[in-house]
Amino acid sequence: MAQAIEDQSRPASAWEVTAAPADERRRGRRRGRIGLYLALGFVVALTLIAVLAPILAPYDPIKQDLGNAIASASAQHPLGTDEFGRDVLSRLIWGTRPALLGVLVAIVTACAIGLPWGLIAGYAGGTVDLVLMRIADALLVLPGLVIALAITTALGANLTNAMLAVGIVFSPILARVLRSGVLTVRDREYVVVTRMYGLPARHRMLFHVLPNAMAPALIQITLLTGITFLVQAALGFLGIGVSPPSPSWGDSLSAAYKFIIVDPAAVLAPGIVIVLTVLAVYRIGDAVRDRLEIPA
Amino acid sequence: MPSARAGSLDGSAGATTLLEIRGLTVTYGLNTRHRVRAVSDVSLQVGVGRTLALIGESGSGKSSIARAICGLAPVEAGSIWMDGHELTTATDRPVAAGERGIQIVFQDPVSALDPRWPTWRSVAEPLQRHVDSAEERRERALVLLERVGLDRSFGDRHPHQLSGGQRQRVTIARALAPAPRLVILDEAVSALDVSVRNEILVLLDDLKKQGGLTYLLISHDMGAVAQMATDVAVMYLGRVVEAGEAARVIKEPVHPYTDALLAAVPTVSGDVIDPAFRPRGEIGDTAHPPPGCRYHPRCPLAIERCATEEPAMRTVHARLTACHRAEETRP
Amino acid sequence: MTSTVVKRLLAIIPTVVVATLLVFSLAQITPGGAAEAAAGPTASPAQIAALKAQMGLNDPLPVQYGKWLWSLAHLQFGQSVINRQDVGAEIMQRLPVTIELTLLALLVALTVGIPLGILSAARRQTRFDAAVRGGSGLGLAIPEWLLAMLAVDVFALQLGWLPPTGFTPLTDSIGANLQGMILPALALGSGAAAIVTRQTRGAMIEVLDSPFVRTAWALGIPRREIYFRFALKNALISVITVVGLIAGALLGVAILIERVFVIPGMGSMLVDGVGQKDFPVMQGVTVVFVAIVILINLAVDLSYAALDPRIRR
Repeated sequence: MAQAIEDQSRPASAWEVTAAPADERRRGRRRGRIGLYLALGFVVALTLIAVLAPILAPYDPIKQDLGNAIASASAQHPLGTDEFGRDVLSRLIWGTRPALLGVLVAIVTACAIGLPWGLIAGYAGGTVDLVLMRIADALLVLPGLVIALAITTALGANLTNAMLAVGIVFSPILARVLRSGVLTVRDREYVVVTRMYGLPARHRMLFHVLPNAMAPALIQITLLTGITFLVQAALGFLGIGVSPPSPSWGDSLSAAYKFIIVDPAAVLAPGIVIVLTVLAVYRIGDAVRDRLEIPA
Repeated sequence: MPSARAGSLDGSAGATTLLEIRGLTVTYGLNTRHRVRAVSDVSLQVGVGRTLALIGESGSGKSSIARAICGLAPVEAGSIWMDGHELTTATDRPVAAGERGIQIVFQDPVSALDPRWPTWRSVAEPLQRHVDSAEERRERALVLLERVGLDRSFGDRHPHQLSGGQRQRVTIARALAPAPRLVILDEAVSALDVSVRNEILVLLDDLKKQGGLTYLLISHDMGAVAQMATDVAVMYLGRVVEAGEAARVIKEPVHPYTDALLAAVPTVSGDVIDPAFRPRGEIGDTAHPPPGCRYHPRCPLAIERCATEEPAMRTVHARLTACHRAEETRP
Repeated sequence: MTSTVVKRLLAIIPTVVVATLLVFSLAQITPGGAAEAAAGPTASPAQIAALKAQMGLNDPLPVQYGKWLWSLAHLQFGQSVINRQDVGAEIMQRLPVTIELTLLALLVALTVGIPLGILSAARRQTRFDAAVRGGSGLGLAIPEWLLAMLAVDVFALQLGWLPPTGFTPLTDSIGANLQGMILPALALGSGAAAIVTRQTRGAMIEVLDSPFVRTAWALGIPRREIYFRFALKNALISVITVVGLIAGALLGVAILIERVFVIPGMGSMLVDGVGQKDFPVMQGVTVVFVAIVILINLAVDLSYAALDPRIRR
C-alpha cells in the first residue's frame, strides 16, 4: 500500500506531470513570460529575415565597393562597411540563412544518429547496450571541436559538411540522454503488457517507449541548438563554413576583428546578433523544460 | 508430487481444468551470479469458472507465478498448460499466452496505462493486431468502457485525468478486449482506497458471471480473497503450503502458516484473533531458504523432522497441504 | 593501488581504439580519396595510382590501420601534403605553445575559481555570493573567443595595457612571452573559471552542511580548522573531477583563442589543414590532441583514486 501511495505521487512520465496543479503552473508561467515572448519573437523574426532576405537587405551582400571600405556607421550604411566595402547590415541579414540552415543540418544529424542509438541501446540492454555505450563514452571524452574539424577535413570544408560534423559530434550526447530515459520507461507495465497482444517490438519502441522517454532528450536538443549557433559562428570565424564571398555571421565577425584596430566597434554588430540568438534559444529551452517539469 | 487440483482439491474428479501448472520453478538471473529462485516446484490447477486465490506475504512468489503464466518471467523447470496446450515451450511465450486467452490486470494503475494515450486507445491496443479499422477499434473500446462502468466520454480522456479506481476500470476493460478466458488479477485492488476497492471487486464479480471468466486472484488482502475466491492456495517462500476450497481453508486452516496468515486480519469488532500457532521470528529469504520445511524456523509446531525433511503435499482434511504434523493441527 | 592503476589503464583501451579507428577511417571515407586529395586536381591517373601505392592505400584495411598505429607509436606522422614538411617536427614545435596556453588558462581557472568558490560558500546568501554567482553565470554564457575579442578591444586597444596579438617564444624572453599570454589565458580560462567556481562552491556547501562538519562545529573546533582540515579536502575531490572534464574542453577552445591572438600553436595547424584536406596534418594533430586529453583523464582518475580511499579497490 505504501508502495502504491509512493507510486501515485511519483509521475509515470514527464507527460503525466504536465497536469501539475493549475495554480503551480500559472505561477511558473508568470515568472518569465516576457522573456519567453521576446525570445520567441526574436526567433520568429530571424526566420522571417532569412526567408525575406532578398527583399529586406538594402544592398547586394557580395557587391564590393572598395572605395568605401571600412566605413563607419552612416545613414546609407547603418552598420558600416567591411574591408571590401560591402554593406555589413546586408551581410548580416543574408547571414541568417546559413546560420539557420546550418543549425538545422547539425541538429537533424545529431538526432538521426543519436536517437536510434540511444533507443536501441536502452531497449535492447545487455551486450548491445554495453558496446553501444562504450563507444559513446569513448567519443564523449574527445575534444569536440577537434573532432569536428577532423571530420570536416575528411568530408571537405564547406558549411554543410562542417555542420554534419558538428551533428556527428553531438550525437553520442543525445544517445546517452535518450538511453537513460528509455531505461526508466522500458519496464513500465504499459510497455511490457503489449507483448501479450502479439505486437512487435518495433511498435513498443516507437509508440510507447520513445514518446515517453523523449522529454529529457528534447531538453538536450534545445540546449544543443543554442550551442550549435555558437559553434557555427566559431567555425565561421576560423574560416570554415561558407566559402567567401558568401556572407555568414562568423565570417562577418572574423572580418570585423581583422580590422579591430581601425574600427573597434565593428565586431559589435555580428557579436551581438550571435549572442542574442543564443540567449533566445536558451530561453526557449528553459520554457520547454518548465513545461515538461523535469527536475534539472 | 501430486498436484493441488483447485477444481477438485479433495482429490476426487471435478470441474474441467482450464489452467494447469506442473512443477513450476521460476528463477531470475538464471545465467548470472545473482540467481533468485522465486518459485520452487509449484503445481496448481484452476478449474473453469472458478476463482483461485494465491495468497501469501511479499516474497512468497505469487506475482512470479502470474508473470510466468504470461510468459513475462523466466521458467527454469516445469510446465504451464492452458486448455491443454503447453505455454512454456512456445517460441514467444507472451504471445502464446495472449492467444490462448490469458490476460492480466496489474496492481499499479499509474504505470499500467501509457500517459500519452487517450483511454480508448489503450483499451483498443490488444485489438490492433486483428482489427484494422481504427473506428471499429475505438467503438469496441468505448463499449468495453461502458461494460466496466465508465461512461463513453471517458474514452477521450487521458489517464492523469482519472482517479485510481477509474484507471483500474480502464485496465480491466483493456484486459477484456481480446475476450480472454482467464484473467489474472495481480493485486488488482491493493493500490486502491478501501471504499473504491469494494466497487471494483463487485465489478469483477459481475464481469465474471457475465463473461464466463475464470480468475486467478493474487492478493495479500484476505478481505478481497474472502469475497471472491472459490479456491485458495497459500504460498510461503516460493512453495505452496496449503491448497483447497476457499470455504474449507479459510474457515479451518490446517497448515500452521495459513492459520497465522488468516489470524492477522483485524476484525470489525476490533478483536485480534490469536492464531492457534503464533509464528516466531521474521519471514525468511527466498534466495536462501531454510533446509527442510521452509517454514520450520518460525513454526511453533516444528519438530526435528521439519528441519531436515521437506514435507510432501498430501491430502488431509479434504484439502492438500505440506506439513509433517498436519493431522495434529485440527481434530 | 597498483591494481587500480592497471584497471584504469585497461579502461582507457576502448577509448584509444575508438578514437584511433575514427581518425584512421576519416582518411578512408573522404569523398574522392586521400590519394586524389594529396595529388591535387591536376594529377594524372597514373600519378594518383603511384601515390596510392606509395601511401600504402592498396593494403587491406586492418594492415593499413596497424601500420598507421605503428608509425604513430614511433611518433612518425608523415609529411604535410601542402608544404612537405615533417608533421611530427612541426607538432613538436607548436605543441609546447598550445600546452602553455592551456596550462595558463587552467591556472587562471583554479586560482580564480577555487578561492571564489570557497568564499562564496562561506558567505552564502550575501551580496558577495550573488555577485559571484552572477559573474560565473556570465562567464559560462559568453563564449571564450568572443570574450577574447572584447578583451582585446578593451585592454589592448582602448587601454593599451597589453599587446593585442603577437607571440614571443619562451626561449626568447619569458617576460614578453608571459605578457603576450596574459589576455589569451584570461579569456580561455573564463569559462573554466566559472565552472570551477560553481563546482567548488557547491562542493563546499555540501560538505559544510554534512553532519560530520556540523558535529565539528558543535564540538567547538575553530572555524579555520574546520575549513582547512575537513571541508577543503573533501571539496577538492569533486573539483578534481571537474578539472579532468575542463582540460579536454580547454584544449578544444584553445584553437579559437589561438586564432584570435595569432598564437602559433597546434590549433592553427589543424585549422589550416582543414581546407586543404591535408590528412597527415589532420590525423597527426588530432591524435596528439586526443592523446593529451586521454592522459589528462587518466591522471585525474588516478589522483581521484589516490585521494578518496573509497574508490581504491
